[in-house]
Amino acid sequence: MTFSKRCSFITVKGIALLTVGLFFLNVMQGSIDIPVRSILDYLLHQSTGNTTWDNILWHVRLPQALTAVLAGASLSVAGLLMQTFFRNPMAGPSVLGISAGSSMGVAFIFLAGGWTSSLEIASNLGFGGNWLLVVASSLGALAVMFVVLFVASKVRDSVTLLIVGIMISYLTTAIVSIWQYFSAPDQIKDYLLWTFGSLKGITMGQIAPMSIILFLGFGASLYLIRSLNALLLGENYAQSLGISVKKTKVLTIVCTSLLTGAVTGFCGPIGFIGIAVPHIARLMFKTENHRILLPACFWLGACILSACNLLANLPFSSTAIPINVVTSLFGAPIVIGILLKNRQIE
Amino acid sequence: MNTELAIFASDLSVGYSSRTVAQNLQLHLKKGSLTCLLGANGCGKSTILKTLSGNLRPLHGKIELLGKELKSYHSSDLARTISIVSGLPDLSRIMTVYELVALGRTPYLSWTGKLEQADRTLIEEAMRMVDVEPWKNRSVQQLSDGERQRAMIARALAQDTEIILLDEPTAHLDLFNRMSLLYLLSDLAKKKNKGILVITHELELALKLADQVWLLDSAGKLSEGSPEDLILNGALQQTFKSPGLAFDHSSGAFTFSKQPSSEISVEGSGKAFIWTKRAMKRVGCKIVPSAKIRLKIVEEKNISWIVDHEGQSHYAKTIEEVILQLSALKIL
Repeated sequence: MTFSKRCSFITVKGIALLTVGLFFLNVMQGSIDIPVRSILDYLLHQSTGNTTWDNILWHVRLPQALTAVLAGASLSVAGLLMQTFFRNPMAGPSVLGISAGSSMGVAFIFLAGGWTSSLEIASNLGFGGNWLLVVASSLGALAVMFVVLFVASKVRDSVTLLIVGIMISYLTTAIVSIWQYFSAPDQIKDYLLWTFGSLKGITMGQIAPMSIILFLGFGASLYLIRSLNALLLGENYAQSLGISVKKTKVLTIVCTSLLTGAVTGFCGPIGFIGIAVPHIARLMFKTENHRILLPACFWLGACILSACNLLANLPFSSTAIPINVVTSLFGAPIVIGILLKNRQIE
Repeated sequence: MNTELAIFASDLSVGYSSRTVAQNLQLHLKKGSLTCLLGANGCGKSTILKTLSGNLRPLHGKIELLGKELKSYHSSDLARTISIVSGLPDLSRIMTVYELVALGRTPYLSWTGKLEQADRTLIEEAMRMVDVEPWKNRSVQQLSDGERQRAMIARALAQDTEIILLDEPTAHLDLFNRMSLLYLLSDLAKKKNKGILVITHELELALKLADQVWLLDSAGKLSEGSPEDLILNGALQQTFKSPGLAFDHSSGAFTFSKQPSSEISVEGSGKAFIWTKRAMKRVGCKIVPSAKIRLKIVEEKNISWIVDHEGQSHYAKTIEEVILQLSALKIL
């Protein structure tokens, strides 16, 4: 135990360092070459001495690299919380339709609201607009969370829950389609672009509210470590260990909705990170202890989404592929693997 | 006054708002003793256990744990006083036995879940007591049901409570594991001066090992006492009363009583004598010293049997052949 613990400590640190490295690569990558020294100068003194470079770094590269780190970390932690909460390996923000719930919240702002036509305008509204987006997105996530929670209390089977998640996604898509039918074309275009999911187009002004919410969610999840560990034994045992199950449930639902809602609100639905990373973390650290898994998921998620972003921007080329293509390529095989492994046990 | 008692309950009614399961219970669980709660399926044993562990509100009456009222316990104090083992939870493939047992320390940890040296010592000790230490780095899923049940008990021991309640820990276990588990619990109760309450269907084992028995009948009435007293005053027989079932005082177990079809006398000695008599009882013969049908056991190099019936002798090499002969003679 002491040995494995020391080992995992070093590895979490290692992943954190790797994340910092990938963050730098993300900042360096782009069609315009900016020397490493200038980037370091910029990070230390907020200036490279070249206004164009300053603009590129401040408006394009830094927000994108930061978003990759924040979104990866949040979705993974949300996935871990959900897997423990539902006691189900197939739980995750995108799989159970939580992201779809967020989409509905966002669609409500984009389409049904009718008073603003694009994310650009929303961001021009400044802080208030950003908060509105996040709140709508989180509320959408929360609503779906409650539906899934209700279904999960009735069925234990992973595959059934998965199918329910897919059905909820269809339902929200249908509702959004009705809104789209009655919306103006340019509103639809903005919403459609959003549904593709992207780490781009986030401004530094949006990073602030996003990170505040994410760190609130992450901080609260750290507070849940002991309770989440006890919940691995099921609710009855958790209660007999002195854990307030009700309080834990409410906090977990709020955390998950905030983490998923904030990321999805700004970036659109990002698939597979939430479900795959916790499994990778468990396999890497060979533990179910959230004291190790929570930080591990945080850094591993940040690391993997940063790497995905690097790949999506296609090194040595000026074109980019959508981030969801990369995360799906990496995540879908893992999810299939988990399903197959579960079948073996049965 | 009740400091010697782990659990004391008076005038207790348990159940759900829609249905009272058992009422008027007077319960005494002594420290340093193993108490078995016996009763037919569905008579409310688990409901009593849930109520005593604070999981379910009592409908009426009062419960004291270690001389202090259950109601006045804070949930974290309660978790340090009483631990439960009820069923094997589904656990992930990755969780190790050590991690499972370590969860027993939860009530003593801060929110960070950090295990201190004292916690580690207690975890190791708990694993040693139930012999799961050799598997501590193994996945819980790789264990057999019996081993996993022991691991769950180790977890309860790591919780370091004066009272342990177990709901059918012997279910799904084979005979060896059932016996060793109950021996283990009886031993723990004495060595660690804990009050241990076990719901079990292992009547024979419970009568042999329990210091106290709580008998719950299907009407929700509970009788308490040492197992021998409950047999002598007929409470046990009353509780499990059903047509065709009779209590056999010599073996201390219930047997299905058949109407004897015919009388037979058995002559012989030693092991063969005991088992032959048993076989005759099993096929429904009444053993009478001077019956018309005589069964003689001949012990030479091998054991053989001779059935004397109406002046004729029939020879048999095994008990199975004896029974076949008897049916051929239309005795059975």
